[in-house]
Amino acid sequence: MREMRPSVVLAGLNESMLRHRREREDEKFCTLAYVLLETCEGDTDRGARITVCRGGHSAPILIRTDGSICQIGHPGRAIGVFDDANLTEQKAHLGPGDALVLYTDGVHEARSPSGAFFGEERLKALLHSCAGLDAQAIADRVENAVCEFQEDGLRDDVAILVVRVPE
Amino acid sequence: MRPRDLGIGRLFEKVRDAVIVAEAETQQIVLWNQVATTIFGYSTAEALGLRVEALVPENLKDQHRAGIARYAKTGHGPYIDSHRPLELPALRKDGRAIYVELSLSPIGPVDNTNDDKHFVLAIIRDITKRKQAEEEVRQLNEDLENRVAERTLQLEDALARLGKTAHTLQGRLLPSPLPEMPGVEVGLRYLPAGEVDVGGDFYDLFDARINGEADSTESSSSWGVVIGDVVGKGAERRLCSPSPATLYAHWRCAR
Repeated sequence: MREMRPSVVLAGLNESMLRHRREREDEKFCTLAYVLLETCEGDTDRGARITVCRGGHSAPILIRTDGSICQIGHPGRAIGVFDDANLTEQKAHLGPGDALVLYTDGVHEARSPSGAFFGEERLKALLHSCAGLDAQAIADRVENAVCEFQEDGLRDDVAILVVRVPE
Repeated sequence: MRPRDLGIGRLFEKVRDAVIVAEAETQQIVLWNQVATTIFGYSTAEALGLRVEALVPENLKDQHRAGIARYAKTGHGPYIDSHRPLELPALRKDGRAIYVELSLSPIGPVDNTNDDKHFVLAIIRDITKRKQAEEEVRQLNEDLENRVAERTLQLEDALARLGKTAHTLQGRLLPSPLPEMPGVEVGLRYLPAGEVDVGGDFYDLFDARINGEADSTESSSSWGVVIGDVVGKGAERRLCSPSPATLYAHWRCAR
């Protein structure tokens, strides 16, 4: 079995968007995080192997069963802007009970009515308290916290995608 | 030169406003000038046989009678005590309704005979045209406000429909439902902020094995998990946001 490595996929996307930009003269670009997740079917006790590549996007956050938190992946650069988006990969292991949280800037750039940012530290503290929850419960808790923080409604899209190996 | 040489004995005939004098108790008109004839249509001879209430529209007659009766008795009344010009509807001889501006002054006999009698001097201008113009302006403003309100409703309706279309469109562009991955749970929350434009966030979850190369005996599986966003700030961000459709075209090509 073969699959394309994340950095190769994102480099291809970067090239395709740059070409589109030259041909159509439009100014489209994006940030994204791509995670390749590999499992051994029928043997989930061993968890999954993850390979993260970031094109200027916020780092996915790994929550271990003990509540420890770590960000995965080197930053890279936005896709569709530079010839070299500086795309590199970082691997990690997702053990039983571990969860990986991907999100967009609508989460950490959410602002309270007084103008404070939700911020990465608040997000990390929140995710620390999410250890042991299932994937959907984690996504729900993050979204509810962001909505409560903003009070007066969304200023930006909010997307939260969680993958987790059940215990 | 004496005042009467200037015609001051017939002063009211020279004035360019209507001048009417009436006795309060009987409402009898005792003085009526030429301009009063022009405004109300009664000749002086006709007017001198009239009571003041002949000039008052039907719906205001009771109020008028009470006011002038009170003045006849006490020398006071709401209109006569008012120091500002009054604007009131009035009635012409031909039955046409007009609008007048008038000031009322209490007067009495100068020689102090009959000093229990009260008279009232009214100086009157026809302001029907001005009132009509004001009414037209008011009507135009009301029409305009109604039209603005109507257009606002239509726009809100159009925006609501556009917003619905945008959400439907984004719903189609984002993968839904996400595929099942054996041995891995997936949690998703997605909230588009915009009411009209299609949001810049996107995500995907897919089988990452290259088509045709998956070995049926292979027991492992590979999944691509992606999340992305549009970079920029404020209006600029919206203007140059790549449509999810464009990004998806690139994405499918690249992988």
